[in-house]
Amino acid sequence: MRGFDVRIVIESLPLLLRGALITIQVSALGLLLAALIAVPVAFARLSRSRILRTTTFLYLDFVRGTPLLLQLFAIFYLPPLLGIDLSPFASGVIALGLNGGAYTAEILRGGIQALPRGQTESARALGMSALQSARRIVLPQVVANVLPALANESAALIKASSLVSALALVELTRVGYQVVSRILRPMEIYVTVGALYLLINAAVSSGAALAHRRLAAYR
Amino acid sequence: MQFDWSIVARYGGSFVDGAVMTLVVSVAATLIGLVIGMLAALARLSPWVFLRGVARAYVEIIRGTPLLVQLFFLYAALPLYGIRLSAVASGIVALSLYTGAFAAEILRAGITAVQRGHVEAARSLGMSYGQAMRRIVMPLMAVQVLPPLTSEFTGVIKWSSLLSVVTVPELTYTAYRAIGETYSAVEPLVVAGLLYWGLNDLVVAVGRGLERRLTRHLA
Repeated sequence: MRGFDVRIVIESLPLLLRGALITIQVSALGLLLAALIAVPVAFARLSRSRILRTTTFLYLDFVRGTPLLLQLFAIFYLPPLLGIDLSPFASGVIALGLNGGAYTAEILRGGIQALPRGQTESARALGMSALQSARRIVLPQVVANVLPALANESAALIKASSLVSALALVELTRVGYQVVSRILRPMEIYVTVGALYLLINAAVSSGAALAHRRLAAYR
Repeated sequence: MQFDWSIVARYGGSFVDGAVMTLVVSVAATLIGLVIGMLAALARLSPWVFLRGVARAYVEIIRGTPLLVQLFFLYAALPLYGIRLSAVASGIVALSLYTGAFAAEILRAGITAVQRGHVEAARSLGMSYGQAMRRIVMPLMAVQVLPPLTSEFTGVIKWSSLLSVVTVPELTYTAYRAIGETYSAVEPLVVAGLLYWGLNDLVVAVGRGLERRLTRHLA
């Protein structure tokens, strides 16, 4: 049995930090795409049109019923068949966005349904269009209310970004794996990799806690 | 691009085997995870600071780092300490430890949600302790705990896809192998996706049924 050698941690830290930067980039863009998908999908789930409701339900049920790894393979293998070439980074962002978007949409839908009907009705009665009432009245309150769930979802997406390593994107997990196969020190390297993920997630959750306090006015 | 049914026919048996392996691994991990989760939940509610600290560290570390990193760590680090596990065994261990941390938080919330007064009221109405447990406490806890546990179990099925990375012959591994051997990605991905989707919806249906059964004493 070997001990824990701190020198190995220090020596490999620059490489691992570069991987962590890619993890942060791919997760941040994935989260952005997820938000862009989730808002219209959440409203479509509650729309009066049956076609909108059914298509969005199928999207949500499919994404939430199959593993992200399989979705990643699909986004890696299928576009080239249609003549579209995506970099591993782009495929990762798209897969994380589509996956996170489904979970985020359900969180937002719950938040919209929990909001008293009177909020929308008064907005409409004051002459706002449906879009204006959604943007100015509904969404600010819903986001403030479901922020803790959104923070959880963001943390899950950051962890899920480790799967993008399967598409040969050299992010934190992949860098760790490569360093371990070179120097055969899984203890030191994977503990450091885990600590870096914990650090990123801690930053996100304290940011969310701060925003939760700031948005108290909307609740 | 044509859907090639001969691939489905040729690999049908392997896909069934893969789905069975996915289910076996997921059920084993869920059962072990529930035991770990219950112990961790009780430890987090215990009066001993040390026990609370250990349980809290376990939950935070597992929930803050990606399963893939934990899997690589277990797979690479355990042999250094003389513990040799097969791919399936180390996969089940990693998955159990992972889901155990999430189950711990779900169960902790369920335990704290049942108020002492309910038990006292049942006893004063003449129910025995066993009756009070079965008719009052369990349904109250089940209402709280079953929906999140069901979604946790569907999560385990999806996360078990990561075991393909350490060569456990489950559904995603089967799909990956079929893609490599046939050079066509569409058919294996569709078959595996549909099987996962089916397993997922089956678990959700069973969970709902169980929930209805357990809560039939409640108005």
